[in-house]
Amino acid sequence: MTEILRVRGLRTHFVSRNAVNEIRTARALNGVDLTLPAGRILGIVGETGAGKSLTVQTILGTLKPPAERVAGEIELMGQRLDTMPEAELNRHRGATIGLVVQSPVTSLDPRVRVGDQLVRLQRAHRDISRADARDRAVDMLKRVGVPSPQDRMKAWPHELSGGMAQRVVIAMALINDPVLLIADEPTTGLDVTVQAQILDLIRDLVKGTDRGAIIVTHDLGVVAQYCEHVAVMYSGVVVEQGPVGEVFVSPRHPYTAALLAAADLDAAATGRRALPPSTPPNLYDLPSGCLFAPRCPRVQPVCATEPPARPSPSGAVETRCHFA
Amino acid sequence: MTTTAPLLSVSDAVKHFRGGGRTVHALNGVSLTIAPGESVGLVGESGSGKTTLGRLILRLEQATSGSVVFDGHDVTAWREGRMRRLRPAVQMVFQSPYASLNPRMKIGALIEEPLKLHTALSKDDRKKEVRALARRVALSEVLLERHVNQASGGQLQRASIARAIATKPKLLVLDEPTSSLDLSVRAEILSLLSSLKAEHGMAMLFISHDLDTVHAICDRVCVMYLGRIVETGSREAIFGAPLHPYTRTLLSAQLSADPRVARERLPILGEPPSPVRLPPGCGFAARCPIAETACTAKPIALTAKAGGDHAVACIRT
Amino acid sequence: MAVAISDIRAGDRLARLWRRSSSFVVGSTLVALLVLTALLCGVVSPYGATEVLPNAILQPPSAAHWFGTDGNGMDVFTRVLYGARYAIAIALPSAFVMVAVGVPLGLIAGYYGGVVDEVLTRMLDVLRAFPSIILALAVVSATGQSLVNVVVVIGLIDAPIFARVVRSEVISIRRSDFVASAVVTGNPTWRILFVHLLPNTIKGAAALLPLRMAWALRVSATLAFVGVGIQAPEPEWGALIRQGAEYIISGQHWVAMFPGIALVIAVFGFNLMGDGLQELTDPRLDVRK
Repeated sequence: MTEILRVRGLRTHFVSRNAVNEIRTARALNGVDLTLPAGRILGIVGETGAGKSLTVQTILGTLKPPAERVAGEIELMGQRLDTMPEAELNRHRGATIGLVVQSPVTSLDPRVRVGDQLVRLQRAHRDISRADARDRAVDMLKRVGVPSPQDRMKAWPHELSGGMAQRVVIAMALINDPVLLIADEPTTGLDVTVQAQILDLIRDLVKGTDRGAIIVTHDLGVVAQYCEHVAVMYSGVVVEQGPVGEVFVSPRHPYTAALLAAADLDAAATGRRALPPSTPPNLYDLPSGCLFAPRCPRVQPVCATEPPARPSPSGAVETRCHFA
Repeated sequence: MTTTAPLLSVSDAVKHFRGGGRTVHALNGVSLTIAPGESVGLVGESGSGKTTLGRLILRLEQATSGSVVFDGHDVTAWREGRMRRLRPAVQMVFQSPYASLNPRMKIGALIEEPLKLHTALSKDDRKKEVRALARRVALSEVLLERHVNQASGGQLQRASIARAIATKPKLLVLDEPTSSLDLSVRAEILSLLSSLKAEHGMAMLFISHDLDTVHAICDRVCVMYLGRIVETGSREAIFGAPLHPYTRTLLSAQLSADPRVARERLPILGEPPSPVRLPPGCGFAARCPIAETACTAKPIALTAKAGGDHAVACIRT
Repeated sequence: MAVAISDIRAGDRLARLWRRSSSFVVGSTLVALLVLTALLCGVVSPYGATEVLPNAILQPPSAAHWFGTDGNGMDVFTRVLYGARYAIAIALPSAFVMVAVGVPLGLIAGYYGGVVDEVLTRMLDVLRAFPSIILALAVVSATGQSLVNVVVVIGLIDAPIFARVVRSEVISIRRSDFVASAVVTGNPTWRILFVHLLPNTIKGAAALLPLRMAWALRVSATLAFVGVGIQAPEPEWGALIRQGAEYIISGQHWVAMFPGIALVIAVFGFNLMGDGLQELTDPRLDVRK
């Protein structure tokens, strides 16, 4: 099975100067590994500050200072993206890689009609006539479930409802036949019923094809129901990765277990505590050993001094823990 | 059958917002009662009117018609001056703690404010009470001296809760209090609310679009759609035997964190409704898989089914 | 170590402030200079403010009289220095009046909206329709040429600007949750206005203050120059310029020139400070290296 995306050892830092002009480094990503096979959906899940969106930006090469990638390999269909010059990388974005973000407001130009945006996006990446591009755009709108696609081509972005706008954004992400679709919190903020429709759409567009998709979310339900694989992130590290059916049913990493326990709200309401009170990790001053050690219920002396270096595989699941 | 008077009784509340040449029909005849100490969940998606109903109960809005009776007082038309005296008894926790706490005040001062306004406690006693409240909501005392932008969402929501319970209200309205929080923080806040409920005998109106959250903490559930209540009943009735097609669709759209649980998804057609152009009959008819012509004729009333307090507004069930 | 850590921090802070807004730094320095002059003029000036010196009429600048003397035999340098006192005595109190009148009106109009807002806004519009200098002229000549009158008139004429700025900021946040929370907690209206809304809507007004103080100085000088405001022998700069105007043609330019330069510097300082303050309070992209 082809691997669409392979990421190894990604590290991203934020470098800035503090009040007394000293250099301070926030280690936001600390060695992220990801694998996405073709025809599959990978869910990247974690809480705020885990580094999910930053991982996406690092893969796409869209980091802005003071953030910079300091290490790591990124392979898309065997091609190295981390060593690619910017001009070539730009050709991948919008063509080979399609991106859907949380708020359609940032992806859709409010001054340009929907149809024109779809046409422009195509003509920017390939040699195609306006007429052909328009036809393909109408087709794509139909595929993503936009009713009366011909009419919608003339619509302005602000005329669209939340769900409709998100469909248009998905159409834009797919119009150039990408091999990889990345959706960063695509349904957060949308109604529950609309969320289901959008996720169904993404699944239909990937299953049984050569494409792959990554869904970044904090919602465990989305991952459980729509992704075959999952990568659980904490503090810039993937602490556990593997088939959803295994990771979510028999979690090996204590953080995954705690996260799943927290998802059981009925139990939470009866007072069972899932985790010690959450304080976000201070990215400027990370512990030297395992990053989860300060909050881990299974912590041992070695955890504070040595980080679990290589993911330890057990079957299809990789875990970063000394005791998985 | 209970004979105690309800703490809150909303009857046929209608709220229309007029502006810019169009009318938003936010509430179209909503009736709701909450008994003392009861926790009721108000569930709906965008356009359902659930937030407007919450604000109406707190008299942040004035009903276009209908009545709101709280603790024996008909507050429907009360001006703010009169309402102020009742404020200690009914409080609210808002969705975004960053947006609902004055960014220029210290967190401790925000929790102290209700005490300052409504009690005759001395300054020292107030400070002591603030610390006690902070402990009760598991808010570190260090945070009392900090400002809003120096605390996390979870900490701020705890502060909001402390501020809301400072006057020991009889009714606490919570509008999506955990929607913007991380999962582990959400669990902690729910646990806190659950213990507060047990301890204070405080009634709660929990407004949310997330059914899992509502299931965890509410005794009764009301489902809203397009400004009307379409189904209401005990938690067991609503989650175990939902009757209204919208309720059933909503439940089926919930995504379980257990990959082995695959709920059969009920199809839902079209887009969420706009409360500007209100359809003549049942608001859900346009998207309902089992609708028929009679459904679009006139609004459907909420009628109780066998079993007492399980009521549904549908002629097809 | 000879240098304390706090000194390093202060120096660093200044450097950062300079990068962010050099206008503010220069402007504040000039204003600080003005204040210092106003405070110390009694100590520093070689002569009395209205001291008539015998045989010293219309002397050009010299070692004894740095700025020369005027037609009455008074030292121009001394009078220019004392003029700083008037500048401060006008700029600060009129600013106070502008704020004390304009801000509450803006809060009330913004918070209540509806009829109250309409009425207040219309009233303020009427006031703004008049060219302010003409209005000031008319009122001061009618009520008398005293410092108090000048200050109050200038303050009242400019109050609508503050009301407008505060009103629009209030309107943008009055529907927000934290105001709703203040209402739900049971705050009386005055607390909502002054404890909750005011601190969060004052930024625009604060940034405006130095600019309006510059304007106050200009108007006051204009009034004095025209003969309606403060008059000789008081050493207000406008009055000094008026005094010196008649000597320009005959070649004794120094009598009017030095007060004129002082006025320009003071107004420039306030303007720069005001511009700088607006630069600083605007939300900006944080691209600090």
